[in-house]
This record gives sequence, structure tokens and C-alpha cells, in this order.
Amino acid sequence: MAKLPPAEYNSWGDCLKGIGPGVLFCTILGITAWALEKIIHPHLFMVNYVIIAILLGIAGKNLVLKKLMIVSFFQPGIDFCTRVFLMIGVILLGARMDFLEVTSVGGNALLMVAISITLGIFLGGIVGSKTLGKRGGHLMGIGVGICGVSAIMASAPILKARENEILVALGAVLLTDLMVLFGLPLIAAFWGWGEEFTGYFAGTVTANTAQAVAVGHAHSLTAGTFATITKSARNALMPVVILTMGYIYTLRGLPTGERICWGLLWDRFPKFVLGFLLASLIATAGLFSPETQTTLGNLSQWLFVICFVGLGAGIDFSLMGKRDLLPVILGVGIAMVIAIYAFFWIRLILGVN
Amino acid sequence: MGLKGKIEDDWLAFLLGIGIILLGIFGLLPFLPW
Repeated sequence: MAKLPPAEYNSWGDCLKGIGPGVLFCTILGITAWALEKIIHPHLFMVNYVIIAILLGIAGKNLVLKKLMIVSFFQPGIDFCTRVFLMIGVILLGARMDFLEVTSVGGNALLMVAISITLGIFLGGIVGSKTLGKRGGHLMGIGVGICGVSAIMASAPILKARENEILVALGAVLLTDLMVLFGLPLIAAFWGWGEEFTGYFAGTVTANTAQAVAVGHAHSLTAGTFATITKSARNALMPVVILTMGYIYTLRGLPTGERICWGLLWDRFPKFVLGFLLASLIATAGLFSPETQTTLGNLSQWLFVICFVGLGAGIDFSLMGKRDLLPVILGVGIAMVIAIYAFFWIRLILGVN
Repeated sequence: MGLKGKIEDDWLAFLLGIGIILLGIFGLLPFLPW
């Protein structure tokens, strides 16, 4: 098992001191978003706690923390909320779900996302060979196809990717997610997409888990749940993709950075997906009282709203200009192709409208 | 933060999540409204 507390802290005390300010910042703004929703949502249907939390995060970071030059003091905690609170939130979401429903939705999603990931990597290879090399293109395809930043960071050592390839891949993923985050809820509302359809679509098209959960919840609770399950299915496929890419690179005689073994695959497997399935199994076995189940569902939603503030605070428009723009735009193009594929697969194969 | 940090976060989230669920099973969680 990995070292706990996280390696950059000497003790749990140091860890709490490091993340405390950022966690407090996100929590206060998260509660504010929840309170503002009660006032705004009845008048403006489109504006719910997800949108408000993201906007508060952007405003808080750029108008307050940056102006006062205290970003670095808050950043570790903000990052912690976006990653750890999100994963705990997903685990607890399992507590209000029926295991059969999870396996049914997850099963539907599994083949769809397996194809979308393959499509992403294949197109990434083509785009890469014209711009930043196949290796960089594959990395970008993995990022757009599986789970954004985590997939890129997990695959980079295997593919022996260079720093500029990692930066371009991250740029493509961040730009795609930014567009989906603000565009998809509007498109879904405008075209009157159903809850299940929006959930499946958000879970397939969005690169990062936090954005997928946010986009789904911005539409409705059901869409958020479907998006979370679909995205979890994609995350679960990460070790398979790493294994396959390592195998292909070895077959072609290309150097790989790490030897593929079971230990490495287990290391790369997202543990929160296991936690989510476990929680859902426990709920289905009837081990939670109805009141506990409601509390766990609400706690999951509180963790999500805090995470969404962190998500907003993580949006840095200035980073986009510093990257090589053409491959980034091509990366967004890959995401568009995946979106078109997902649209028709969900409509025609899954029969969801 | 590097890859190492991400893996550690993953375990931390898993343990905290399971811890909260165990509290729930034993009825030790206070009611939390939304």
C-alpha cells in the first residue's frame, strides 16, 4: 500500500496544516453555493448549486486569492478537495444505489467506453504522427479517452513521454473539459435531453472525473449518478489500457519506462471504484437504515459541492496560452469525434433518449 | 503533484470512504440534511 500520510508531509499534523486553509476555503464557498441555490434556483432554473459552486471557485481564486497573492497558501487544500473529496463522494454515492442497477448501467457503459477509449487512442496516434509524435498523440488519446489528468500521469512513465508531450496532452484535456463543463449543461437543457442520456453522455465525453460528476449533477441528480457510474467504468479500464499500450510498445520494439507487472496494474487501479461498488453492495444487502442511507447520500452531495468549488478554483485560463496550441486543438477535435460516437451509441444501441 | 501523490490520495479516499460507511452500518453517523 502507498505511504500515508502523503509523501510530501512528514506527519498527519503537517498534512492538516498544509491542506486546512484550502479545505476551509472550499467548504465555506460550498456552503455559500448551497445557500445561494435556494434563492436563485427557483427563479433561474439553469443555475443550480453546481454552476454556483464552480463560479464561486473561479471568483474566489482569481478575485481574492490571486489579488492578495496568497494562492500558494490555499492551493494544497484546494487540490485535496478536488481529488480526495470527489473520490470519497463517489464511494458514498454507492450507498444510495442498488448494486444491480450499478452493474446494469456500468455494464451498458463498459462496451461503449471501451470503444470510445480505443477510438481516442487510435485518433491520438494519427493526430500525433502529424504534430508532436505518436507517443505524444497516444498520451493525448489516453487522456481524452479515459480519465484525463490521472490517466496521463499514470501512462506517461510507461510510454516514456517527454515533458512537452505531457503538457500538450494535459492542455487538450483541460480545454476539452472546460468546454464540456460550461457547454454541455446548456446544450442538454436547450435540446431537452433526458436525464439518463445526459448522464451517459457526460460520463463518456468528459475527460476528468470531477468534471463528469459536475456536468451530470448540473443537469439533475439522476444524470449525475449515471455520469458517475459511466465515468467509473472508464476509470476501471485504466489498468487494461496501460497494460495494452505497454504490450503494443514492447511488441513494436519501442522502449517502455516501466516493466508491466500485476503490482503496477494494481497500483494504477482507481481504488475509489472498488469503494463505490462495495458501498452499493452493502446498501443492496440492506445493512443501512433508511436514515443512514439518506445521510450518506447527502454527505456525498456536500463533498461534491466542496469539490466543485475546488474545480472552479483550478481553472487557470492563463495556462492555455503557454502551450503549443495546434495539438491542443486537435485533442479537442478527438473529443468531438468521441462525442458524436457517444451520441449515436447511446441513442441507437442503448436506446436511451 | 506527481503520480506518487495521486496514488496515495486514492488510498486515503478509499480508507476514509470505507470508514464513513462502517460508521453508517453501526448507526454512528448523525443525520445530515441537504
